[in-house]
Amino acid sequence: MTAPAPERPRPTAVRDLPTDTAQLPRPARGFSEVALGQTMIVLGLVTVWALAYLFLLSGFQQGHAQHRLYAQLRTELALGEAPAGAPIALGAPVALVSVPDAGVHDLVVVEGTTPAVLQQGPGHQQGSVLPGQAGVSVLMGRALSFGGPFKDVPQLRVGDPVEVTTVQGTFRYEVSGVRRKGDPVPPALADGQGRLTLVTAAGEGRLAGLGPSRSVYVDATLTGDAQPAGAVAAIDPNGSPFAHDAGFTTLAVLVLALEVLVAAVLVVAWARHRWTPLAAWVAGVPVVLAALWLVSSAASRLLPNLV
Amino acid sequence: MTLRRRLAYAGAGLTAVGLLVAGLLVPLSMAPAESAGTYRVTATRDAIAEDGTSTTLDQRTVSMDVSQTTNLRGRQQVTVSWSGAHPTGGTVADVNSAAGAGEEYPFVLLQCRGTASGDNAVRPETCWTQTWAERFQRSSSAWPVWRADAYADTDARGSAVGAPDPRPELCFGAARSERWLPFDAVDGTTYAGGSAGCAGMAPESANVDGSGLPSNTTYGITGSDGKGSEQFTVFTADENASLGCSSEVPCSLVAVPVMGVSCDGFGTKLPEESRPTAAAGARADTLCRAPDVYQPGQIATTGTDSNLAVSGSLWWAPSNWRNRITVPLTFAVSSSVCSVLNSDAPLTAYGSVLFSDISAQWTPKFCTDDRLRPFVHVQAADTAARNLITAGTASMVLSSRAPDGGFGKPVVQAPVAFTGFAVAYNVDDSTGRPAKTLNLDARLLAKLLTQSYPANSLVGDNYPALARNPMNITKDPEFIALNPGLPQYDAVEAASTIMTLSTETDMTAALTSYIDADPEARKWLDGVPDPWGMVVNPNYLRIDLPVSSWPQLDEFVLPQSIIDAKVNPCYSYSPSPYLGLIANPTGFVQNVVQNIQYSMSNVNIACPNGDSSDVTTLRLRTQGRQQPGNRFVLGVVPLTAAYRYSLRTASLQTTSDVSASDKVADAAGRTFVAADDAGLKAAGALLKPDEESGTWDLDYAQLHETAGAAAYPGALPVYADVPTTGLDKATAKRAAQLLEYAATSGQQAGTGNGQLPPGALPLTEANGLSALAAYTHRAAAAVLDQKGEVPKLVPDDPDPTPSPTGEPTDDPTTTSPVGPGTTTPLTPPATGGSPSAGKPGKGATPKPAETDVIRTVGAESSFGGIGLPVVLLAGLVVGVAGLSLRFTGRAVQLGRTAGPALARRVRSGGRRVRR
Repeated sequence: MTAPAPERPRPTAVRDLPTDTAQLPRPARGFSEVALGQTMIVLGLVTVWALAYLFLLSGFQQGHAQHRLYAQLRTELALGEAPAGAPIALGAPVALVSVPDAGVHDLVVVEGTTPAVLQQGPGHQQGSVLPGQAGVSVLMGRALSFGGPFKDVPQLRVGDPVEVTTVQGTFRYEVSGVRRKGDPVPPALADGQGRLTLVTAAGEGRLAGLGPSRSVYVDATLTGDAQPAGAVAAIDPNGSPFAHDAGFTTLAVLVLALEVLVAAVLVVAWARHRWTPLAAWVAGVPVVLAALWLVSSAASRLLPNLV
Repeated sequence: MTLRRRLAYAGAGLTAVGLLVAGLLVPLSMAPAESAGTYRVTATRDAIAEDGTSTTLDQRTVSMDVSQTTNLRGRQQVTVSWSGAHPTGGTVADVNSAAGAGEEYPFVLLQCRGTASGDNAVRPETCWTQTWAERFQRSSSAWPVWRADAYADTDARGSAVGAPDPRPELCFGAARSERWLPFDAVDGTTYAGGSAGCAGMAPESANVDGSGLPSNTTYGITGSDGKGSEQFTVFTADENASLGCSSEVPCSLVAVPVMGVSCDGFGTKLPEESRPTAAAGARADTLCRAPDVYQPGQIATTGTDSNLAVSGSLWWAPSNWRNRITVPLTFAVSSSVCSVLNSDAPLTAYGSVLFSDISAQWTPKFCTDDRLRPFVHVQAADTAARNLITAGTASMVLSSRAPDGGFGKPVVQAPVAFTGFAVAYNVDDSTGRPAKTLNLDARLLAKLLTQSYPANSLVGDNYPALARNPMNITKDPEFIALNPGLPQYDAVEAASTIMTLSTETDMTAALTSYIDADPEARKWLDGVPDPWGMVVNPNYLRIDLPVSSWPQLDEFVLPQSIIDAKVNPCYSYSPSPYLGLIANPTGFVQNVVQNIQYSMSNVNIACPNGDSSDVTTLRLRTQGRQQPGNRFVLGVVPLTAAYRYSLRTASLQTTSDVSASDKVADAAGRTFVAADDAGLKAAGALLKPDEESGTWDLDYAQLHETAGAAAYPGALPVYADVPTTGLDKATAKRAAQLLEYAATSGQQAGTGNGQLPPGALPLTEANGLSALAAYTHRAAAAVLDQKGEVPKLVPDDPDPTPSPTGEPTDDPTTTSPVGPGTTTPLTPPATGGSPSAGKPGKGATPKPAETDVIRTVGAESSFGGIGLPVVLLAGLVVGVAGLSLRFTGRAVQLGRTAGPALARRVRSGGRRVRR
């Protein structure tokens, strides 16, 4: 048994090409300045994203939710299974509302007014009767983000119609007044009368459109007979005007979403090194955007529910 | 004087005149709402003969007084007294029971939804009764009394009126004549009722004659002089959702003085075709005019039916109903309004049960007035609450004493109310009617608390230490001497004890301080028998007082032979100290109040349906409601609660010049002070500032001297304890605002929201308590500052009220610091005329006074206002700054090195990455 002969080392090749001794171009500024600049750009991009999400993308999100809820409510109304009284699960569709003069056309009203629920559409305040029933029914809607379904509600005028469809029928209300802080609450209802109060937020001054800071209440009186009031759920303190949701669940979801985002970014960065940049971008951008969307949706629950 | 200065003075003068006029207008416009009126009606009973001629059988002018009709709160009792009514016969002991409907000529009091007149007027259908029998009649005869009613419509005189269609299966076949009176609930549901409620009753209906809370429908008893008086309990939607009365839903107290059905037996008022035959008509007429079964004042006997034509069962008959007196009731906005209106978290004040009725009136004011920030009062044991301050977990605590070891940090104890405890009772005299007065001395209270009465023969025969003591307080010669004419009971365990709180409360500390300072009581507790030989329970001998919660020291368990005999299977199943079961202190003051209001014995030895073979039935229960006529319950309650629920309160002894060894036969030589404003005012004069503890203390020793003879021994201030260091600015501001309110507007007596309820004495100059209010005023400033300063109770400055300094300004909203009793910064100046007139909206239902007008509170969010613009701006700034930082420098350099360098750099970068 003979071992193969070791390979001979190659003869050393002497490079005689001229050497590039020119100094490499250095960054004009120090590392920290570059890092600061990068950070600020990223912050700026995050801001742009946040605003784009709140003003534009969240509207798509609500539209998508409405599409699903509409299909669900349509079925339930047809079968007569839509709720007429408590208990109703949070986020379940309860009614269809139209306020033509405020640009609200056949929006599905969901149960509850927590920030998360109001991301899906106008919400019915727990603790009030359902629309169409005797008593005061309260609906809340966002004024700015998630499509701002109620953004034009404060501009309603006395006499404007509001139409609500529940499992008990279609009810027509007429706006009887708009009130803000300090205005007298309308007189007590007589037996068998119904009132619908639409609650949203509106701003003041020059940046009114950008800063809905105060609650606005629009009262509408039921024309025709009210249905007897059904059972009423307990008042939910998490659903009061301008309530925000910084509860454990929201924070936990937010942390998880952030982890997904960080993981997605890391994977894309890794991919950019391993694949071609183009491939990394093509595969990575949708993943990062989806993760970003998840984060934004969870983070927006920290904002007041009427904004 | 310059023109400017002159204008300023003119402005100030005008403002002063305006305030004066407004100040005069306010009481004028409030007066009719506050005073409860006298109501009068002429009630008649007619009879129509066969030929159609009408004669008046009886005519009376009835007048009625109601003690309170505005600002009512749940389960509150109002006193209704009347005169001129027909004397009642066939009386029953419990006028709130369905049996009361059988009385002849009762004075029926009902709570009905609706107003006195108009579209929303009261109808029998909207009146609450608890049982079906009060709204259903059936008869096998063709023309029963209610069909002979001269004032009923033709429809209402049919053979079956108001029957549900279709007839529910549960209901038996229709009788020959039936009259259904359905109940219309506030939500629009109609409950037809019927025999045994077969066609449905409101959920609040139940036959509760034995247990639970009784109905408020009252079959009042009119004496032979035409006068009568009853306590009427009002229900809000919280107690009775079907009736649904609230500040929004108007309700009325309806009094129907039953005169009897006006007879039209021959049906002369009916159309020809509906009339009875001549013979049937004659029978109906005789039935309607039938003589009364009972004499006025006679007690109903079982098995004897009263004359239906004049009984309370037909309170709804148009003949009776048309004689009604309708008194509109208005309800105070309850504190539940706060959860609807407010989104900001309230300031939490823990502690004193004495403050609960005051906070019930203050919290709705604080959350509906947008100048005030809401607060919520969480009842808690006083000692534990004070520990929260020391631990730093509470920012405000309400209590009545300084902690024994101090707070360990600077804390102001600002007086917010001067109220106290009351010994409330529900005791019947020998005629079976509620006793009007009750006198107690400290020794009797000590006897009750120390479980020194044997209560029943099980104890009396087997507990040698107590064997010679009277069975209960009604058998005690001392009690008999002070309260002559009360019935004596052999085996009413509730008469051997007094209901107290089991939790630690300053109320118990005050009660035991009073006992401790009383020479007679202290001597008896130390082992000296009373003049009749009664001795203290040895377990409580020489007990150290005062205590914050009364200890349960007696350990006597019934002998084994009795346990084995299973006389009381529940007790035999789990034997425990027997006298402790009789005392059975409760954890909630509301339970004591309710037990007194409805005379429910809290003695925990009842064993209904106890079956030794089934342990699930072997739970000891409280004895529950006592039979009216034989009621005897005592309890320690806050004074404000006694006033709110119209509980009768005992007068407590202050001085006595009777020798301790005298076997007295009457109350001569002893002074008893009632729990009223005069007694509180006299007690207020005994308050002494104690700089060391930081509180004003009642000098109990002085109660037994001439100086304190008129002082009510139960008086007790309530302090708000607030730290003056370590609170954040927002909390400090809220606490200071509450103190400022307590020092000024909060001391206005009244039943409206924001006012001081009866049972608490306003801290004003007139009551000699201005020093307390002035201190609260100074404390508010110290709380606001948060500099760790605790003002002295009595300021070194001889003039405690800072006098207004500086010149008058032309700004009417600026008010100088004020003492109590004058216009206050927090009272809204009544500009623009009558406060109740400013209510827009057509068809508005009559609204209660100014304090109850609800205004939109609204919610605000500063983030909503400026958040997004700020984010947008910040984003722009950061983005631009980042871009410039990152690229401007490089762009310059790139510009310099230009094309090839850039190309090379990009290529080399790309290679580097790939490598």
